Amino acid sequence: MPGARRRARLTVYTTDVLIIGGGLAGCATACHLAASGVETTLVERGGLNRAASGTNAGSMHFQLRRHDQISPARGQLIRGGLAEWRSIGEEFGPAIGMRMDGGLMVAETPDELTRLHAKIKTERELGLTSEVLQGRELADLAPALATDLAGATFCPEEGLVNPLLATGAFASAARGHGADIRTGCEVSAVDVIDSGGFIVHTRTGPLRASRVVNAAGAWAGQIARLAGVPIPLTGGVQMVSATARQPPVLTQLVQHVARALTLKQTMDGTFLVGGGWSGAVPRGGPRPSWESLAGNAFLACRVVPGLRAATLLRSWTGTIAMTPDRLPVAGESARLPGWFSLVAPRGAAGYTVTPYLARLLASDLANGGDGGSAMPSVFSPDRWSADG
Amino acid sequence: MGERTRVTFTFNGASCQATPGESLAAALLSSGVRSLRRSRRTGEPRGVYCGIGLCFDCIVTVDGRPNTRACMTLAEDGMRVESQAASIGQQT
Amino acid sequence: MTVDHADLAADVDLVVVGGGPAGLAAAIEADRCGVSTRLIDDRPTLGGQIFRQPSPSLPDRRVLTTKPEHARGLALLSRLRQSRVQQVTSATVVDISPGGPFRIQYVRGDRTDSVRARQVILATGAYDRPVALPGWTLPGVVAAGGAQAMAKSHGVLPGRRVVLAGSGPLLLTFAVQLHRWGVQVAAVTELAGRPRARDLAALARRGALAPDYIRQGLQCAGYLAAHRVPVHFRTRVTRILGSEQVTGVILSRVDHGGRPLVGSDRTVQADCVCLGYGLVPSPELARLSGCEMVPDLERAMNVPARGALLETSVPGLFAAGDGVAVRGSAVALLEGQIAGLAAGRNLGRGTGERFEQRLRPLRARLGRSLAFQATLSAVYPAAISGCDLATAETVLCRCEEVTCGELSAAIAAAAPLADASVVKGMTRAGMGLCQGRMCAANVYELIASATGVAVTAVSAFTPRPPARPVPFGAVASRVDYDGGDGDIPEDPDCIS
Repeated sequence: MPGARRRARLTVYTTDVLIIGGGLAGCATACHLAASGVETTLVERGGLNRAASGTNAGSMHFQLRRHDQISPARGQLIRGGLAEWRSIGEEFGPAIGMRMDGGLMVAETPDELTRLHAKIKTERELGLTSEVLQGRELADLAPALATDLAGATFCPEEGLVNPLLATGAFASAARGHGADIRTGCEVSAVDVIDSGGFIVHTRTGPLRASRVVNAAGAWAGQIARLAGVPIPLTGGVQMVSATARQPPVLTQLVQHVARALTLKQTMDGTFLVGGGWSGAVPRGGPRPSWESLAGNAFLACRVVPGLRAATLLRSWTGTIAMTPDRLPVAGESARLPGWFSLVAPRGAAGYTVTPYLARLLASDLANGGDGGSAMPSVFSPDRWSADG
Repeated sequence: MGERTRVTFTFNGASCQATPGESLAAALLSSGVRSLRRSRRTGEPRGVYCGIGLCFDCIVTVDGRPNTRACMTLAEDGMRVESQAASIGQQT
Repeated sequence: MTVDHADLAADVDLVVVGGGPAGLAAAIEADRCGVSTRLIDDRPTLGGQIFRQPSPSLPDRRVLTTKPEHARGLALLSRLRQSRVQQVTSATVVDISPGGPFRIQYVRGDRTDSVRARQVILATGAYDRPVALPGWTLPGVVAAGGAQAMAKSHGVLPGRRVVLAGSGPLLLTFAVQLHRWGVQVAAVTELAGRPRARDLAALARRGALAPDYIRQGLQCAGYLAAHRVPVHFRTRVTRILGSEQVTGVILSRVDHGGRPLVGSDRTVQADCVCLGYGLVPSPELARLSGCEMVPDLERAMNVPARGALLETSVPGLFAAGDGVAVRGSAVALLEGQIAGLAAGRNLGRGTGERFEQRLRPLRARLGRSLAFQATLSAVYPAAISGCDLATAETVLCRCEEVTCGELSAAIAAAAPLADASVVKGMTRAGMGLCQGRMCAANVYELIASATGVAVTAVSAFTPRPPARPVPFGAVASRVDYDGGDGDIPEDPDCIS
């Protein structure tokens, strides 16, 4: 096995940091860790990027729908996320279908327009250069938008990425720096070693690690329970729909200040429509819900009327992590030293903030606890336990 | 029903005739037109393949509407039919 | 778990999807049992492919349907007109959700209609097997079924000088049809060998249909010989020539495995190639509805599991005809009748003695038809590869122009976890306008041979709505304007 350190009496593969989960969180963490020279192994039960990381709509969004819910931690995520995706863009940009032509958050009614004006102040404080556009200005910038909208905020810092490609780019870079990434490697049990470290049992055998990162997304609750440090994290089913290629008419990400909507035209010319609409879970397993598809389509067509003539081709579901407070679970567990977590759940703009959180976590792991951590303590995995 | 009632449409600007109830594909085939468009990636010629509306190879742009199957669309008087642009979806 | 279907709140007792032989027979039979039925078909006129009716405005002298098919189709349609079946045409079913009553969504024009039904019969039919070989995307290459559809509906011929390449019991019949329509048939290539006397004898033992079949086959062979149409057995078209459209083909003799024999190439000039390698079923709605699929080893594909009365694993959902597995119109008609009858019984109509009385002869005839079809497969292979002639440069996904070589490279890169969804994400194969209908089977076959699993064991493209491409505006509706902000359902797989 590449990178294995086999001692005479131990037949267990040993590594420094073992990451559980092969989505964006795990692969980005692996990339930063390996680049810092930390011995890193990642195990993924299926294939890389198959869950939320690969099934979301690829929105890079920083604008706020609720400007009154901004916390210092959230502000840090926005600033950090912005910088992080900028540098990712420089390194991988075209290869991951990235286009950062800005985002438009629309308002239909005068009340909603008022909300737009209220929120840009907060956004500017966070380093976003949002401005409210209406009428002719808005039409010139985005002619595909309906002409009877009250207005929209334009945030040049937003954009879109191809979620099918981003995780793979990090994984390749991680491997290039020496990380061992294993697919088809499901974790079944976790043993805590008294003297420190863990034995993680997988489908292909046990692995010994000094430190573990729980980056299992919607399944992080299951993994956490295996280690004896449960967290109230479940998985929820959302859906996205996609059209066939259409003539290029829209370059910005489109959202709605009062409704759940993301709408974008990808580099391939297809439109992706989402925003967090719910899937369905009948007996056979998750599948798109027709009611969601229809409602999401209605909203999208209301905002971009030309979409009516587009050909709807596909829809799919993705399972996203859910925490009660909609905040990330990130950092080391005080209940179990050496056990780290990195999950961005629904409500936390997961795709947008994850690479930044991964960099913070990797930095903490590489420093071994020296020099303090930039990870906001409100993300602590212990925040629900009695003594957390 | 006589053949005197013919329908006239244009294909890439050229005038074409059809009998009422005839599909665009059939009408174009009758006039010897088999190549309907160039493919997006390699620019190869494409026409009718499955003939029953499943393969979407025979797509044309009708009155500005792209992705319209010629084999499933009945010819109508005054229709403006164009080869589907190969560049559809390509970003510059 | 027994579901009392009769009690479910619904708009209609039964929805039949598909108006070909199986669907028509099912609707007529159900109506006879007093079942309120809505029949939905995506074409403007009913009849499916085999009973395709000419376009209403087509002058009579241009009608190209064969007399027996035409007559049978008309008879069925006439019985349907006399029934109380609600007929909905030019309507595309895009989703079926089971559980309680079935909710069927179908798109007509620029809107979606929704209907709740207590029972559903899927009779979605089949389409030409896509066979990828060098040059198959050229204008002038048409599927045999498509060529027939254009001829029957619009009186339009596929070309002037046609090579007909394929395999199966319908191949020679189609050759005769083409010739009768005035097409110059430059060559017919049949993958299988010439039927042997003992195969014909085996067929003859199979009962009522056999003499007709054999007679028709001999008549076709005789007609083609008399008109000097070259028919080449154990031969395939291995390459289609031309740059802007078809100019000719290369034929090769092949071995018993269908592999071209070196040195046996000949070139034949033509302006059209009809590919007639049999039909493949449309299982999308069955899979979307959650039917359990089981391998049909003979055909090397997965089919919906069905009980003796053709009910699938989803209670109240039946599947009949070529949409399950291709076995011809005689089987389709019988299965449609049985499914219609069984649906009626589920609803408490036509129970007991009358049900059994009606069912028994249908089952007997179906058994004989199926046995006959099975014997046919001794002559013609039931499982045909759609991509064994493809080279690395041959396009396999027509919509996204993904070549065989690109797919093989992706499969190798993803191995050992190369399932269809992964390969789709890597290459875009299956993500185009046809929703994978032209390439899925070939993608599975490539994965199977690269990874050493049976093709029926390859994890297929996940079935999702819409079952067919439809205008986005047609789908839009205000059903749940706030559906993105509320609670979302939990995925049971994540429970800790």
